[in-house]
Amino acid sequence: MELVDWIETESGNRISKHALIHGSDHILIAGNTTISAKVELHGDKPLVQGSTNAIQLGKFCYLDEGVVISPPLCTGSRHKICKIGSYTMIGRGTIVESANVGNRVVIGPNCKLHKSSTIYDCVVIKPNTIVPENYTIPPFSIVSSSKSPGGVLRVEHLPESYKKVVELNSKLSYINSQFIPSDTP
Amino acid sequence: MAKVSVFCPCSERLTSELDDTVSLELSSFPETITDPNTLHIQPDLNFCNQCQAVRCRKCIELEVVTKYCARCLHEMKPEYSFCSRNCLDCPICGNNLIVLPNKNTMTCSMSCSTCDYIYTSEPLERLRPMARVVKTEQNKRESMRMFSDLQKFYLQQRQLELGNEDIPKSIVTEYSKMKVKEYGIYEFMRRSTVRALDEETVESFARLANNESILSYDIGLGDSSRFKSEALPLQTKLRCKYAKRCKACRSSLMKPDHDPTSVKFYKLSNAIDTLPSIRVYPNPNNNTDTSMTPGSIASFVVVVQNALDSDINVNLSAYTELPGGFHQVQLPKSSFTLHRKPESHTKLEVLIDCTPSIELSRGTKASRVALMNRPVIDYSDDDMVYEHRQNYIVVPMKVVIHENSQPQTTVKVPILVSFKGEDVAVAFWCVLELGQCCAAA
Repeated sequence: MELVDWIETESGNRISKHALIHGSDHILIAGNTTISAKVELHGDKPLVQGSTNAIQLGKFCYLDEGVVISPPLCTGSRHKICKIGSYTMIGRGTIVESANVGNRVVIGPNCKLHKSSTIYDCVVIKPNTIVPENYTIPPFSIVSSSKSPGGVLRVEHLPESYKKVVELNSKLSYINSQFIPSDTP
Repeated sequence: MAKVSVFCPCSERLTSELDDTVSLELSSFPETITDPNTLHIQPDLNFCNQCQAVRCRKCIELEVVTKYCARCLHEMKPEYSFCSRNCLDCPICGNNLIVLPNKNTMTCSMSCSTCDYIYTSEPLERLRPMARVVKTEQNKRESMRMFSDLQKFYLQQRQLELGNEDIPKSIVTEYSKMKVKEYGIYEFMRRSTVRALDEETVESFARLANNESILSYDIGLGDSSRFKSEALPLQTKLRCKYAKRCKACRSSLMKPDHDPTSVKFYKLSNAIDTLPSIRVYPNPNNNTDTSMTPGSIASFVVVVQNALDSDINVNLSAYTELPGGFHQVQLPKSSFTLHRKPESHTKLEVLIDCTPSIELSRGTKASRVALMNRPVIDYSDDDMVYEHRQNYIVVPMKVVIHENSQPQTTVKVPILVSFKGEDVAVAFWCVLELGQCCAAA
């Protein structure tokens, strides 16, 4: 990883020069966020009336290589905002079309979060999980799905310690510029 | 990084149950340490300040704080088990159903977002929660109707036996009429929906005995269109938010806010906030893929980090006599003092300062600057402390791999960690899973 491949903003955001950011005027990034190479942020979609931002990222977010974030389709061809909270880490090759992803969320590699799904705070989504449309995942959940296509989602309780663990790991991911997954039960 | 598990002694035999010959000193090994069910990762554990001990899921008591629907996150009454609103699950794949009302036909269609299951309700006279609509339709089904008739019959019979005065007048009159009649009970059976076995039923039972019905049922499942049209949506089960108590002393370990969407806690006592964090890495100078062969000595680096706001004295102990499956460990530096956790440890600069060099990569400017400001560590010397800064220490560890170890078996090492602080003195066992044993060259 070369230093010249990255742009570092005043607020501590680190953005790879190889990231594909469309419609940057409609993307809001809080600070200390890492956007790796080949990440696609689709902020150029037509928005519903009253919305100014298409994608909103909190602080200490970590988007690994190949992550795609696009605002969910709302009515007709209009899209609504895709909000991603602070201390959220998204693994390699994951596609996010959620309406809301909370704070302290870990989304493993190769997951797919279908449109308008809602992920609340303190959630761990295991690798290769597919979250269906309009699905809601409550706080303190660990989500996994069976390997068969269209497999049943398993939503289990996540111990409360993970609130701290995920926050610490997101900061370490920012410091080391690498996705640090949390050990899960 | 190696997996570090903390042993919870709750499955150990009580001291009164132990034989007189068994020594109770720390030199004796816990009997259940080889049981994987007694080993937990640190974030899974709570810590009881009163008992000064770790508490796993088996040694805590759960109390329901609130019941809520995991789909709509609405708080429900404690007596409910299913969501009473519009949350329904697909009977085929279990995912949530999307409810779409049709104003023209006054019906509601429920479609699954993952499979092609669709269910359309009967025309509704007025707007009602879909859970109630489905429940009503379920009650209309033959199986449910037969069950409710049978339930009613036995309830009435029981009331008659007890001489309950609350029986409706009509039923009492009917029963009194039957009493005087000859063959009254047969008359009641004829009128009731609960019928005596007819020839057709007897035949169906015979078919069932010959497994013919089971075969036809399988065929029915295969015919997905039929199944889809007949299966009713499932009601969404409620989820609970729990408070935790120590089973031994009944003191509160965790109390969450009652709001289902809240992640606040009124009381929280996690093991990660008290126990020192232990992390194990392969020695950067050695290649563990080739060094973990039977009979060899593998070299590792252990990071011990204080999580408390006061200084602690830590002692790591390894024992020579180990139960089967464990490998012997040598710790050249086993006693040390760790400083308190810095006040603003969540600040980025302080966090970098409190991160051991072995956990810092050269991927960012911040980590590179931090590494440049620290002395270079020589990991080749196996008898010295590699790093001792802030609230952490990095020490060497050598593992002697058994000569008769089978390749591809996990190398496990038990360590007793004891620490003493201002108002805490705890000892706990850790099991380190260091990787797989390699075949001898």
